[in-house]
Amino acid sequence: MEKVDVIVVGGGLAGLSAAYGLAQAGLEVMVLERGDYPGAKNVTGGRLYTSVVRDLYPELWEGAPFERAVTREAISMLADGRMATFEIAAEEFGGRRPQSFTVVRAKLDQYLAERTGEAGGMVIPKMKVDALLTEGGSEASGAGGGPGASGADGGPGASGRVIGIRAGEDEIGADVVVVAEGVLGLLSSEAGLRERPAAADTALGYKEVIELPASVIEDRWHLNPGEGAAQLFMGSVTKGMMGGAFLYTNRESISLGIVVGMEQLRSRPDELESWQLLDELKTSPAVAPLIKGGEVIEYSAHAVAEGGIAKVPRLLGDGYVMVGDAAGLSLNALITVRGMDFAIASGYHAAQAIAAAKAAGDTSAAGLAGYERALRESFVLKDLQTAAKVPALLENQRLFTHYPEAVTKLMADIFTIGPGPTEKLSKTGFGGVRRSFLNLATAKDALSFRKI
Amino acid sequence: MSETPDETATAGAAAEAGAAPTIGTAPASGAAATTPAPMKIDAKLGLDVFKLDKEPHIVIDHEICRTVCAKKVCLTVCPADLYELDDSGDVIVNWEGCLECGTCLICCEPQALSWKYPRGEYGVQYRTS
Ligand SMILES: Cc1cc2nc3c(=O)[nH]c(=O)nc-3n(C[C@H](O)[C@H](O)[C@H](O)COP(=O)(O)OP(=O)(O)OC[C@H]3O[C@@H](n4cnc5c(N)ncnc54)[C@H](O)[C@@H]3O)c2cc1C
Ligand code: SF4
Ligand code: SF4
Repeated sequence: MEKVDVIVVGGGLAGLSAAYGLAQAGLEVMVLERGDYPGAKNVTGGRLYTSVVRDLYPELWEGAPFERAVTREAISMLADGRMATFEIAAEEFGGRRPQSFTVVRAKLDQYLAERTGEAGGMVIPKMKVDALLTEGGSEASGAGGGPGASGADGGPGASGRVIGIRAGEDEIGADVVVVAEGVLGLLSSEAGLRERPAAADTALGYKEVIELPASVIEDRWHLNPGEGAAQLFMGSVTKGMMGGAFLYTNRESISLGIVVGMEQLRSRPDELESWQLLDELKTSPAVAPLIKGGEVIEYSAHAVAEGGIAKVPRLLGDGYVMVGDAAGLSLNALITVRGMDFAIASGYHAAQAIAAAKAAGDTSAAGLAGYERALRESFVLKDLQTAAKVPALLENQRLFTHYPEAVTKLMADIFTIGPGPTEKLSKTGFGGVRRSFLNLATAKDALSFRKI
Repeated sequence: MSETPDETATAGAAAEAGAAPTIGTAPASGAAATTPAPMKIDAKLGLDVFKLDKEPHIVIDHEICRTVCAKKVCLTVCPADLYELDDSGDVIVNWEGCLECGTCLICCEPQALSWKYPRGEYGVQYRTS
C-alpha cells in the first residue's frame, strides 16, 4: 500500500485548513475531495466570523475572496402579516478589521485549496473516498462518548487504529487521517468513529442565490460600497418549527434561505413541504420588495449540525482526528449558525497537533492528544460549552410563535391609528407588555434564557 | 397545501392587523400585486449544474416502505421535492436532481434508503453557494 504522512478526507474549510497548516509544516499531505473542485458540494449561509480566526494563518485573510464586510445586522420577527425589524449598524463591525464577512463557498474553498497547493500540499478533486481503513479491519465502538471521552490513552472502547483510506480500487496508507467529511459523517459512522446524525440534532438548510446589482444591494440595505448586511427572520417563516430564515448580501447577489429542524419537519401533522417555506417568505409583502428585480441563479441545500457540545464525538483516536462538521463543531446561536469559523480553527489546531505528533514519532491517540487540548483552550469548545443549553432552549416553540406574535402585535398597536379614539401610548405599550411578556410561561422562558 | 399565499390572503392578513382605513391606495398591497409567482421547484433545479452518473446513488427498499413505514416523510422533507408516488403507489425518488443534503436519509426512520454520495465528480456542482 502506498503511504503518505497525512490524508485529509474532504476538501471543505476544515479539511483545507488542516492541509494548509500541514503543508506549511513540511508534511506530505493529500486532500481527497469528491466535488469537481473544492466548494462544489458545499453550502453555507453565509457569514464567516473572521474575528475569531484572523490570528490563525494571518497571511491568508488579506487576499481572501470575501464578498462583503458585514456592518449592518438586523433581526426581523414575522407573524400574522406583520414584520418588526430591529437593526443595528455599528462602526466596530466594520473598519479596518471587520468582524465578519459574507462568503461564497465555491470561491473561498478554491482559494484555500490554491494556497494549500502553493504550500506544497496536494489537493485532488473528483475523488471520493469509499472507506476508512482500520487496523485488522476491526470495527470501532468509541462513538458518542463526547469530547471528554477521548482519553489520552485512547480511552475505553477505542477504535482500531485508522491506517488509511480506500477510494475505488485504490488503498492509500497514512500515519494520520484527518476526517473532514462534513455533517453526514458517512465514512466515520461506518467505521464506528461516531454515530450517524439524528433528526433531532440536525437541521435542513437550503437557499437561493439571487443576483442583484451592487448598487441596488447598497441602496436597499443602506450600505456604503463594499459593506454588507445580514438579516435574520424568525416567527411565522418556519410555521412554529425550530429555525428561521437568513439573508446575506454578497457582492452582486444575496443568499436567502431557511434553516429548519429536521425532527420538527418530519413530525408535522400536515402536508407542508420543506421547500414551500422559502417561497412563502419570498412572496410575503414585507420581504418581496427586498428581492424585487433579482434573478435566482442557484438553489442549494445541505444539512446543518445542531446537536451542540453534547453530540461532539471523540475528537481523535489512534491515527485519526475529526475536524469541522464531521466532529459536530457547529453552533446554532438562536438563529445564526456558526460552523465555518469552527471548521477553520479545528483544522488549524489539528495541523499543529499532527505536526507535533509526527515530530515526536507518536501518532497514536496519546501522541495526538494535543489537538483536543488546543480545542478546549480555544474558542471552539469554549463557545460550544457556553452554548450547551441552546439546543434544549430551541425546542421551546414559544420562541418561534408566541414571541414574534407578541412583538409584532405590540409594534403594530403602537403605530396603529384606528377609526375610534386612540389609547394613550403608555396604555397600549404597557398593556401589550403585560399581556404578552408577564405571565408564567414567559417568566419560565426568561429563566432559561439566562442560562445561555 | 396551496403553493402560494394568494393576494386575498395577504390582504386579509393586513386587514386583520388593523391596517389603515380605505382612503387612498395602500402601497403595500400595490407591491404585493406585482410580486411574481414563485418559481417552480423544477425551474430552480434547472439553474444548478448536475453531472449525471449512470447509477442512482439513492436506492429505496420498497418492501420497507410498503410494510413498515407509518408516515412517508420523504414526500415532504426533501427540499428539491424529488420523492413521489408512482402509478402503483410505490415511493420513487428522482435522484438525478438530488442536492445531496441527506435530509431524506436522516428523516426516514425505518431506514429504507441506501444512500451514498454519487461517485467522485458526479452529482450537483455548486458554483455560488
Ligand atoms: C444553510 C446553511 C447556513 C449556514 N450558515 C452559516 C453561517 O452563516 N456561518 C457559519 O459560520 N456557518 C454556517 N453554516 C455552517 C457551515 O457551513 C459549516 O459548519 C461548514 O461548512 C463546515 O465545514 P466543513 O469543512 O467541516 O464541512 P463541509 O464544508 O461540508 O466540507 C466537507 C467536504 O468533504 C467532502 N467529502 C465528504 N465526503 C467525502 C468523501 N467520501 N470523499 C471525498 N470527499 C468527501 C465534501 O464534498 C466537502 O467538500 C451554515 C450551514 C448551512 C447548511
Ligand atoms: S420515509 Fe422511508 S420508509 Fe417511508 S416511504 Fe419514505 S423512503 Fe420509504
Ligand atoms: S439528499 Fe436531499 S435533495 Fe437529495 S433526495 Fe434526499 S432530501 Fe432530496
